[in-house]
Parts: sequence; structure tokens; C-alpha cells
Amino acid sequence: MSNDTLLEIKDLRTYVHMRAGTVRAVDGASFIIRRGEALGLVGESGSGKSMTCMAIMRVEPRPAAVIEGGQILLEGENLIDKSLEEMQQVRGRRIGMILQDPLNSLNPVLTIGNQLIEALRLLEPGASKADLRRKARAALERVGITNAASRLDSYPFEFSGGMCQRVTAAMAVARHPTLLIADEPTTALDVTTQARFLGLLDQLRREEGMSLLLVSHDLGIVAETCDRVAVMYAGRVVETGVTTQILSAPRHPYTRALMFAVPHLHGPRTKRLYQIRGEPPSVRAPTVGCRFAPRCDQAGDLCRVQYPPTVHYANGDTVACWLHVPDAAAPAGASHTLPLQRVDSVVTDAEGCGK
Amino acid sequence: MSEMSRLHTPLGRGDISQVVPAPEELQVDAAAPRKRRAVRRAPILALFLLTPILVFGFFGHFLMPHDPTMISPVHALLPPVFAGGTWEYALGTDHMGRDLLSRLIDGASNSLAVAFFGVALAGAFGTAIGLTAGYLRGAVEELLMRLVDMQLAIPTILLAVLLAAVIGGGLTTVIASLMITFWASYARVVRGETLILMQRDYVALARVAGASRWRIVRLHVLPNLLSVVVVLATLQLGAAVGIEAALTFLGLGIQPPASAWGLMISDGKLYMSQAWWIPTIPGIAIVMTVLGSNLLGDWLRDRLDPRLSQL
Amino acid sequence: MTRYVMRRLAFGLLALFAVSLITFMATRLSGDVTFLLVDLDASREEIAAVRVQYGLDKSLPVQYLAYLKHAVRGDFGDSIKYGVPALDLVLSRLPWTIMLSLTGFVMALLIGVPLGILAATRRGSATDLGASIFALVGQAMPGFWVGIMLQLLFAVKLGWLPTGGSGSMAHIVLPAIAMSWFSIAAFMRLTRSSMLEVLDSEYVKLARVKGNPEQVVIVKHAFRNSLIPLVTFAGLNLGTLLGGAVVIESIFAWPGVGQLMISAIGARDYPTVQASVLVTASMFIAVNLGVDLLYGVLDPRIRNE
Repeated sequence: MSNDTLLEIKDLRTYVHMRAGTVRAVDGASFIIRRGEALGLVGESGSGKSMTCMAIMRVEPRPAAVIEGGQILLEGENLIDKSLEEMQQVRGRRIGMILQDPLNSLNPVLTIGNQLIEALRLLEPGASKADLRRKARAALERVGITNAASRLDSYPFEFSGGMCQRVTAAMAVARHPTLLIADEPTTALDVTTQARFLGLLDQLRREEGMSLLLVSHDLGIVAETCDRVAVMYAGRVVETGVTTQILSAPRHPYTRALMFAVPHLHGPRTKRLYQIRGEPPSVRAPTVGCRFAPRCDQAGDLCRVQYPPTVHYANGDTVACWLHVPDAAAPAGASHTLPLQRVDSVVTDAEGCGK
Repeated sequence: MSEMSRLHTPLGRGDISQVVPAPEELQVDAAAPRKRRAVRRAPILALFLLTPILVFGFFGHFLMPHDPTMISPVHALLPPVFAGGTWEYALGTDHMGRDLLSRLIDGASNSLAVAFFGVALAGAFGTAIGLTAGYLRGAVEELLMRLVDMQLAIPTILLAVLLAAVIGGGLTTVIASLMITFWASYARVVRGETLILMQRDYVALARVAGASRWRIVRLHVLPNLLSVVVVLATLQLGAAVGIEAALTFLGLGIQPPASAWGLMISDGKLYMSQAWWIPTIPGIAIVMTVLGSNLLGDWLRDRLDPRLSQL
Repeated sequence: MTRYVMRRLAFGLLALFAVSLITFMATRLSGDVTFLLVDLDASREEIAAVRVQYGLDKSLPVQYLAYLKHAVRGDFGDSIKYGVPALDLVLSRLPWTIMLSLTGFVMALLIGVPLGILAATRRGSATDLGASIFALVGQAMPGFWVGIMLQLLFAVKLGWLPTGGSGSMAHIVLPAIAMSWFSIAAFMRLTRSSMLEVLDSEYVKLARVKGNPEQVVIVKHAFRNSLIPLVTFAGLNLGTLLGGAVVIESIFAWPGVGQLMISAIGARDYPTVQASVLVTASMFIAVNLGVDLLYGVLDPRIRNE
């Protein structure tokens, strides 16, 4: 592991034990976040993205969810081995987190100021009330909330979703963490607010010099904000790579299918929207072989029998697919055809809109 | 050939640094889904508790070993069979020599009947009010709901006691007290449900199709209210038995010489020191009934509509 | 906020009126009261005189107004049985009832609520299961029966505590336990379910993720929010305790208002019945009002209504 690796997830497994059976929410996921970089974690619902974030912060919903294996290495320290008190030192201070639903993330019966100061007080336990209030006001102003002084005494229900999310962002970076995890932070916001919020995240990231883990099912957001992307499917990471690479020349068939499925503003209008055939795998039933094989047009016999190894490239990209394993029997149907035009326009679209 | 064929993955892009084998497939112990949880499972405990009570209530006459009202001083204060007594008087006798088991069985039918009628009447009345309020809305709704709130502002025992003061104790008093106590909950819940149901599309459709108000209520609203009302009623049955017992204990409920658990307990209080079983055993019967109906009500609620968990 | 307070106050007054009306109707409807007030062999003139004296010759609405006028001044007439002003009689007994009810209430809170929190935070454990079973069975036991069983066990069989009366500190123990029994179970169940719901919420997750110590998460965030339904219920409960002390007081011969009410009914002592019912109801309504106000403090969203 090199020095610029901030967080390394190795073979993480989180299983949720319910009476109806055990759900393998995360089943051997691995990826790396480097210092100062923004990594996007994408996948469908049920792919395990949120559970991975919860595992990192060790707030997996116990007693049902259990981390069954793997390592979460934050600057070399395994977070899974840490005790509750040790994790409390990590949360907020070394890793900050923003949740999905801004209106429900804030405690409805406490003022905004109260909740902000709570975070600030953890940073400076001995500070005076007046001091903390001042800092809280400054924090609100930093995230772009006007009338900060009077807003401190407001309650969350008086704020809009966008404002609430800004407050949670302020709280998350209050203690200057090295990593910020944002779990679908814009899903509940309308498009304009989304864009502004992403801009805020970007600004904060640069000011604090922190890394960002942005979880989303929206490729457009990830394309705009992130340096690198990790794609999850059925509890595992199937591909990671630099954003432009992922968008223009994705390696894994699933990623390619995702790219192809994005409707384009500038493309021909006669085509029907593309849907990946089949359904996401049931996370309950144990599977044999590559989990995407049932839906993959290029799947071969080997794919159906054995899960592919992960190929690591020199620049840090990874992919878990037999198509890219050297000396493996190439699955039938492999070809070099690339619909170049469509893929290029994906990149343009992402850069063009949302500003 | 599908569209996907134009997506086929290019090979050989980039310098490979290493190839790491796939993570192993962990065997999960509980991989096979077990049977669905308690929701489907029959409410065994509830039935276990309630069945003897119900059997006593309905078929008591055939099961009583003795005449519950027969006074026999020579057999007074006999202990139950598990405390030194005989099987002839399995649960012992009271101060007048009456067989406790027979009185228990006899009292079961009385208590159950009273509770049932009280709750049924309260349910009917309360549902009607709630339905009216929810359907008509506006001033009528406001008025009715204020009434509900006010009624909830007055404690039950007080009302029962007052009622008893006016018309004396007895069956009517208890049933009336139960009605007064319980109707408000129905009204509230039914109104809430009616409001929700009225928003449903099929009601709007029926209206547009020209269905009369009554028809809409009968066909669309009432059947859906049924589950709510049934759950509430079951839950309240237990409470009703408890209240009836309390009122009877105070002398305001079922009057002697009829058998009632409350009476047995109040009699037993006087002879507590000599015959602990007289007040204890009827109490256990009450606990069984209340617990059983609570459990049954919970199960019904989970089965029919988990939304109702605020009841 | 003031609008909210005003509304609740007005409502409370309305409820009080309703109670007074009901009480009035109850006593008047149960037959001609006159005959209780005179000797059996009184002459026609004497009866008529008594009727005038007590205002019983006027129409019902007029009687009610007169009754209200007097009631507002605290004059309920004299107790038929004891001869002293009814209100004074009731008020002399009131401290006993309050003492018993409050003790029971505080006991229920101090035992039931922590037990509920414990059960919620240790969900699925033996503690949780045990507490839940206790609560379930406890709520099924009628209060008066619990009282008798306690008497049986601790006073009669074991002789540790007195059976009744009100002499010393020891005398309050059993009645208080009997009063609080149902409430302990109810509080425990409510706290547990309320906490469980809150513990699952996003803001609790966020509080954890901020790095707060677990205690802060549980108390400041989780418990504070689960307080709201708890407070409503607690208020209702206190009111019920105040009103329902009747039964427990009878069993333990506790000299409170409830016991007075029962004996007054038996003796057809209407002034006393009226006074005691109104006093009890007033306390109940006052407590509910307090709960409504507290609710406004705890949940800022309500204040805007």
C-alpha cells in the first residue's frame, strides 16, 4: 500500500441476518481512496454502496447487520478491530459523513445552532459558549447560509432540504476530517439545488484538502465531481478507474451497459431507451460464477462457473472480468466494436450540463 | 443481434500489474430462508390462555361440577386440590361453601357477556360517530371530535361511579360504563381511517360514477374499516373485563347472588388470611383473559394491518 | 405559542363545565332529593319549606345556574352525612390522594422508563425479553387484585407491612406499588417502542457519525425525541391515577378522596359526591393541560399550530 492511500477497503463483507434468511449486502468488496481524491461509488440499489459506507463508520445497523470479514484500513489502521471508544475518536474527526435525507438527518427538536455547536464542541471541548456560537455562525456562512446569526436559533423544519444538507455538510467538516463520505447526498434534492450542493462539496474538499467518497446511483453527478469511480454490483466492486476512462472506455460489461443506458440529449431520438436485460441478482441466494453473467451478452462458460479474478492495472485501475484476464480462454462473442460516438457524447454531456 | 453487441468490451487496454484471485464464497449458515416469523405463526399462547375461558363462558353449564349458588356451610373454606384439598372441590370453596371452580365457570360467562356487549355497543356507536365525522367533514367533524376529546378528559372510574350513583349498580351500569369508556377510541380511529380511505381513488371513481353516499360508505369504506375495528375491539375486550371486574369489586357492577370474578375477589378479601385461594384464583382467571385478548389483538393487528401499531 | 396555550386553556374550562353539568344531572336525576333531607314523618309544609330552602322548587336550568354560581365560590352545600361543608371535607382528604397518586406515579416513572430504555438499547437480549414479558403480564393484572395480592403476601402472610390505614411511611408502600403496577408496565412498553422507533432514525445515525459518545446519542438525541409520546401518556396516566385511586384507597383504607366518594355514594350524600367528583375532575383536567403545555415546549413543531 502506497503512502498516498488514505483508505483501503479489502474484501469487506457485511451480512444482514434476518429471520427470512441472510442478505449478503457487501460480499467481498475492495477499493482504495487516495489522499485528496474524490472517488465515486456507483451501483444500483441493493449493490451494497450504502452498507459499505455504514461499515466504514461502523454504524452498520446492529444487531442484524454484522461485518463478517475483510479489512477497512484508514491510514493503515484497521477500523474493524477498533473498540467503540476508539471509533468515536475516528468518527467526525478523521472521517466525516453526510447522509441521504437532509430533512430527517437533523434532530427535529434541537436548534440548528445546538447541533452545529455539538460538533464544534467535540473539536474544542474547552471553548466558551460565545466562542462556539461565533464559530457556528462562521460555519453556516461558509456553507452559504445567509442570516447566519438568526438561523442558529431556527429549527430544522423551518429549513428547506438544500439548506439542511448544507448544515449537515458544515457539521461534517467542522472537525477538519481527512475523508468525507457523502451517501447519496443529492438524491432528495431538486436538480438546481443538487448542482449548487455539489459545488459546495467541491469547494469544501479543496479548502480542507480532504478526500471525498461520493456514493450515488446517478452517473452524471459522479462524472462531474469525481476523479475516480468504483462500480459495485451485487455486493462486489466490478471495476474501478479514472472517471474519463470509465466514461469513455469502460472495461466491465456492466459498466458499459450502464453507460449505454444513459439517455443522451444530443443523440438520435428514434431509439428506445436501453435497459440492461434481466434483473439484479437476489442477494439472498448464493451464486456460482460471475454475478453479472446471467445478464451479460459476452458471458462464456468460464464466467458462469467461476468468479473472475481482479485485474490490477499499473495506474491503479481494476476490473473483475474474464474478458480482461490474460491467458484466460476468451469468452465467445468478444469483439472490438466500440460505439465511439455515443461514448464521447456521454463525456460531453456530463461536462456540459449541471453547472 | 442485440444492441449490446455494439458495446462489446475492448481488450488489452493498459499495463497489467497483477491479477488477484476472486474472494472466496463464504458459506452462510442460515442461507435457507427459515419460516416466516411470528406473523404467520398461530397465536398459540393467546389461544392457550383464552380457550379455557371461552369454553367456560360458552359451555359452562355443562362443565360445572357443582351448583355455583349452592350454599353449604359444612364445606366452607376448603383448600384447592394443590394445597391439601380434594378433587371434589378442585379449586376449593369459599366462605359459604360454594365450589370455587363452579363459581369461576359461572362468572366467566357473566364477565365475558358483559365485556362483549359493552365493547360491541361502544364499537357500534363509536364507529358510527367516527364515520360520520370523517365523511361529512367540516363543522360536524369539529363538533364530534371535540366531544371525543372532552369525553377523554373525564376519567372512567369517575363516570362509572357517577352512573352508579344515579341508576344504582348492576348489569346496565357496567355495560353503560363500558360504552362510555370505549366509544371515543373507536370514533378517533375510525375517523382517521375514514379520512384516509376517502382519499383513495376508488372512492373518487365511485363518486364520479354517481354512486350515492350511502352506497359508497357501504361498499367501499365500511369493509376496509372492519380490520381496524376488529383489532381495536379485541384489544379492548381484555380491558373491558378488567374494568368490569373493578366495578363489580366496588359493588357497582354485577350484583350478588350472580357469580362474577370481581365479587369473588371482594368476598375473598375478607377471608384472605384463612383462605388465600378465594381472592387469588379469580384474579388469575382475569389475568389469563386480559393477557390472552391482548396477545390475540396484537397478533390480529400484525396480521391485518401493521400500520395500526399505534393502537 | 400563546395562541396554543389559550386554546388549551379554553378547552380545559369547557371540559370542566361538562363535568359539572354531568355531575349536576346525575344527582338531580336519581330521584327527588328532598326526602333525604327531611325526617320521615315531616309534614307537607316542612317538605315544601325544605324544597324552597334548597332551591329545589325551581326549574332545572335555574337550579343548574344556581349550582354553578355556588360552585364557583366553592360552596357545594353541607355534607348530608357529616354536616360540614362538602368542599372542606373533600379538600381535607385531598392531600392524601395526591400523596398516594404522586408516589405511585413517580415510582412508575423511575422504574418503568429506565427499564424501557434498557430494553430498547439491549434489543433482543435476555433483559429485553424479561422486561417485555413482565410488562405484558403486568398490564393484564387488574390494579385492585394486585393490591389484594400484595396485602396477602406482605401483610398477611409475611407480616412485613401493614394492611391498611395511614399511620407511617410503611403504610404507603403497598398502596403505592399497587397503584403504580399497571403504569410501570405501560411506561416500560411505551418507552421501549418509542425508543426503538427513534433509534432507527436518520438523525440518531448522524449523531453517532459525528463522533458523539454513545451516552450523548442515547440521551440527548434518542431519548429526547421519544419523550414526546411518553409525556402525553404520562400525563394521561397521572390523571388516571388521580381519578382511579378510588379502588386502591378502598382496599387499603387510605383516607383519600376516592374512598370518601364511594362512601358518599352509598349514603346518597350528594353535595359530597359533587364536590369530590368536581375536585378530582379538575385535577385530571389540570394535569392534562400541563401535559399539553409541556408538549409545546418539547416539540417546537407543535407551537406553530
